[in-house]
Amino acid sequence: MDLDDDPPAFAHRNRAGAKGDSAADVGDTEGPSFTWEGQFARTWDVVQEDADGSIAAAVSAISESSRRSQLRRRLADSGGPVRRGIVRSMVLVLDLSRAMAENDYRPTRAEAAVKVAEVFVQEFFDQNPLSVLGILGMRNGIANVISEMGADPNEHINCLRRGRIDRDPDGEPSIQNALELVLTQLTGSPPHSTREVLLIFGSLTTWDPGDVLETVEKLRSERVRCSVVGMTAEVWVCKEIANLTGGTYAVPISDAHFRELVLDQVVPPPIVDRDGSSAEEHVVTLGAWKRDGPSTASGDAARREAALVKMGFPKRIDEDGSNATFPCPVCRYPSSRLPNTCPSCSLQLVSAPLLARSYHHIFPLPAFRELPLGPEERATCTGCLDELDARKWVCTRCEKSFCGECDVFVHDALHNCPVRM
Amino acid sequence: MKFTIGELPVYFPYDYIYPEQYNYMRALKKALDAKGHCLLEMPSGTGKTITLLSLIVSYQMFYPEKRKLIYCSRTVPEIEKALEELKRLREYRLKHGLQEEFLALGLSARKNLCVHPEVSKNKRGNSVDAKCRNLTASWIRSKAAEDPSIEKCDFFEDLEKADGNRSMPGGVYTLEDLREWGKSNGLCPYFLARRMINFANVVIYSYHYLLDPKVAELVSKEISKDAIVVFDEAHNIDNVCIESLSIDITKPILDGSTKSLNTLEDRVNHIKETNRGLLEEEYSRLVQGLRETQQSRETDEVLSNPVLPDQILNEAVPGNIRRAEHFVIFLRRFVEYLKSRIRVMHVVVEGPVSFLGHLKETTSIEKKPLRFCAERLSSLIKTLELTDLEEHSSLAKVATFATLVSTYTQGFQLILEPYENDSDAIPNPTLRFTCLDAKLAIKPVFDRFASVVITSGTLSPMELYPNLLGFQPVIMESYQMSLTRQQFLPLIITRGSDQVAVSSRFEVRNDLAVVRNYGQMLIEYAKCVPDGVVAFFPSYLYMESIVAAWNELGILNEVLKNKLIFIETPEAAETSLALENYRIACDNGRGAIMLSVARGKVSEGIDFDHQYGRAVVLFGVPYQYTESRILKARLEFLRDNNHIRENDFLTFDAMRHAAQCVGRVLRGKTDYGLMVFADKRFARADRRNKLPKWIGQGFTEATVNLSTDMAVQMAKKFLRTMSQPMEQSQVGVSLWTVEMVERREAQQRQQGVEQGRHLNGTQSVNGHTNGPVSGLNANGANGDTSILDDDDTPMADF
Repeated sequence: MDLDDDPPAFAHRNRAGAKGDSAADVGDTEGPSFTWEGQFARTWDVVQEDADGSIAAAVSAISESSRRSQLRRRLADSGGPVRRGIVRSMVLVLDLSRAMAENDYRPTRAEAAVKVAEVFVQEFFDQNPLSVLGILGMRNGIANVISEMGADPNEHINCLRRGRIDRDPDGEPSIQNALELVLTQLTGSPPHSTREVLLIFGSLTTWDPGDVLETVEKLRSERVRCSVVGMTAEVWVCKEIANLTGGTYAVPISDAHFRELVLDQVVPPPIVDRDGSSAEEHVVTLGAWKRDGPSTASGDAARREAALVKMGFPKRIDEDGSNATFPCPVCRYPSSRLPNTCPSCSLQLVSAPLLARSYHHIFPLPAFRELPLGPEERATCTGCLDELDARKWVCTRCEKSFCGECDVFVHDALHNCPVRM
Repeated sequence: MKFTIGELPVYFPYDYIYPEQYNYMRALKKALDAKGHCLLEMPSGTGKTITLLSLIVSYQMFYPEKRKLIYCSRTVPEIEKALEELKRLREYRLKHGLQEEFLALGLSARKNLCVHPEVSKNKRGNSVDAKCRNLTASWIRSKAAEDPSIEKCDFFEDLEKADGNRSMPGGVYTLEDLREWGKSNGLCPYFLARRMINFANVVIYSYHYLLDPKVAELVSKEISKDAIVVFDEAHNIDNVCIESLSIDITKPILDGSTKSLNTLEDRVNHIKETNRGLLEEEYSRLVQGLRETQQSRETDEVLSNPVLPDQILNEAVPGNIRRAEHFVIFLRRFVEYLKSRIRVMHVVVEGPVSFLGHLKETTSIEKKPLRFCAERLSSLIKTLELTDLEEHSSLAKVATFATLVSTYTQGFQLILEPYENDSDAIPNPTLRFTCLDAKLAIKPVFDRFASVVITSGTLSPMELYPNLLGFQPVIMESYQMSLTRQQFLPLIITRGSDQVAVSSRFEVRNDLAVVRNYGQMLIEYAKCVPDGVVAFFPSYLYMESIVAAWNELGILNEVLKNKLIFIETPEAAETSLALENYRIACDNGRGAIMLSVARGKVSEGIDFDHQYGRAVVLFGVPYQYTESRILKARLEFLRDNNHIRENDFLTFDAMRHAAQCVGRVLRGKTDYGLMVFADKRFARADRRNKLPKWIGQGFTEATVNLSTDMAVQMAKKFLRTMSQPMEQSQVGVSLWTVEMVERREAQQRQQGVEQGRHLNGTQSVNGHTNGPVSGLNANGANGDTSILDDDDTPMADF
């Protein structure tokens, strides 16, 4: 496992789990803004007393809701195996219009969106190593490329952080212009990959040169799935775009919820047959490239070979311990990280563990059973060895007990029961 | 679903029923059983129409009397919608194996029903009517019988021939169905519908067919006495009644009258030379009395004409207007008199009696012949075989005026206004003959029909309606909306962010601080509300001045960054164009604001559902223009005759319009919207309590006295909450299944005794409708508490 110390792949894996997580975030992002500069926030509306005047119930409800992503995943689990596309081409579109300067998200909507986008990029490549991503920004009525389509998370994050985007939101957004640009970005994506757009939209208006729904028709015919995360309120046209293209539309109620909704898009969407196109198109035969010279197969075999997604599994060369390189097995061009597309011969470069990781979406770890702890029962969590209180989560296969936090960690980050590894 | 109320099996064409629908049905049935009138308020968007129809149709079909249903609605689209619902209901009943004789149809103007290939091409209602008359008038047809070159309408001819021996198959006919059926069977749908009214179980048409005396006479007079009459969207019914009896006489009308009198004169002279017999015949007929042929008028089965009291119709027409040429001269004198009257350059307010006195003094025109003017004129036009009634509409108006002014001494007022506005320099004199008493027009309806149901989404404060309309309801109830989540948020903004109170009160409305604060409010809401926002102003005048001020302050430019701005104008075509583009802007995500007027077209008939209206902002309390002389006269009349204080009526009227405006935004249980009342006067409890219960239930202590910034925060939070997907199931809370209804029904039966007490209570208090308002108030309050109980218990049950 020579990839275990590859930094981008394993950072941030612990996202939805730890309780302190969201609190730490608030501290991070609040920056220099003073309380009196903030808007009138009715904090007492969030925590409401129950009939007895106690807020215990309200507090536990809030902590419960932080486990929401986990619960939702469990609901999805119950449906049995779902066919999902693990080779994805996605364009992330960020709204950088004037509305993003509002500070109802800390410190501003734009900063919050960019920050979540960074996490999303990391998480996306962590969980979908075979996919590519591009980033666009909308401001002043037009759409700009922030980061070209590519499989390098560092590159994307650098583009987000660096001056490639002017951090000052300005002007109006245009969804239509953005989607037109998305179409050009996605033209090169291979037929077996999903085509997706994630639009993070903070404004309530879109200044389009024409009818945005015409562009949506184009998206439909290109089988592009467009999901929208609104940041303020439900905008009809966004809902319509999501409905028409088979995507999702959601509006967060808090900063933490916003992050959660964006990160939900990390899980590949189930493939549904639309417009008579068969899901078979998405079934890919993977083949490792071998140095055998040109293929001599003909007929059916040739066609099968053409449909083959060729991948290279480069060896890690670690010369001085700090700069590991992965030379392409075809052209020997050294890559600095995996996964990647070889810049010289366009071979997809992966490693076995990454490939294996892609499969957890298809064969998810079954949900653990939630059981109350017996009155006399005393047990420790198999994961963290802490003492369990009140409730335990039991793995369906190995029958070992876990605590709530380890349960979330196992499902969200490990995707394997540690006992059976 | 099928369930029973009492012994009555009700078929309801949906799988679930809202609790308020069920309660509504119960109240309605009680009223029908008692053969009494009722007043019911249920929020818009809770399926009022289907509730009414499914109960009444079930009622009709179950009991042997088969009482006819007359369903009156305001506009053609509403009529169409009701017919569609009825059709669905009928299909549902057929599916359940009910083989019943059932005929339902809608009646509308010729414009909407004509299938004649040439005539139906006309766009304007008047020209369709005129063209139709040219083809179907009796004298044209008799002439055509001799001379085949004269054009006739084949559809009408076939209907005449088929008369009696052909009938329509049962079913529900929408206007479109009626046209189709008429076309394929070669019969005129318009006249067919008019004839079938007497055979149909359900008739759906516009208010005017019952309330406007001229039309009611033609269409509705033969409807049987035990019919059930429903006025839907009836919150404005008193104004409809008043308008149907009010007449404005302007200079162009008088000039038009002179012109048509000239035509009549020529025509009379011409006929005198060519066909003397015609005039002689008419003369002898008039000696007999106007209506001797219509024996039916004497039986009480017929809707009496409020314009002409029964007794005078049987009298002979006075001698001095019997001859055609004399009548023309008589009218000419009257018109000249009116012309001299409106030349006066100062305001005159007088009652009919003084008007007639002065008339007699100067022109020696007596009261009695004046009374016969309208009937005499229509007789003359018939005799002269004139088809283009459009040409004589001005004269007809003057004749109707003559009849009305000489018939009623009570409840009317003559107001002569030389200028349109007091500030105008160019005179535009108008003689307004205004009806002050809504009872006059609607009295025949209440007297004649056993059950009249008055219903709307906004009837509060309900106590006033029985008093205004002069009837005694057996049931008067208001229903709330049962919701799984609070789908609308009413907010009262009393001051701007700078804590300056905002109000559209006349003294402060042009204050810079108020104008700026209102503008700021608009900017803020344009920023935080997605898609469509509708803003209402109390009057066009105020809207014009404030929009101009906003433009100078740069507020409009600020708003334009987030929303496009559309403005309602008094011109209907312009407004509908604005509305169309407003809808487009809401659809494509640009967002739009519609600036409109609380008493305009937009506030009444247009729905702003879903993305077309996420917020309504009411700038100011929509009081009427209190300097209006008509309003002053009416207030005085109400004070003297109905014991309603001026302020009570003004507030009542303002609040019902406010409720109408904000009600535009919520059109169903999946819809949601903000309702912003921006005036410090809304915060007063006595005004707030006049809003319908279902809106009132949304107010909390925290939402009735807000400044702009606080209100915007609450709006943002509300909109975010509403954007979340519905997680809870509605069943059991705002939806009931059959089992739940049946359990409820069993419970109700046990409580039957108590219910009876409530009913008696209502009746006894209503024994003296003309008592002081306070007594009625108490009654209303009693009714209301029991409703609250009704609504609260079901939650606990399931």
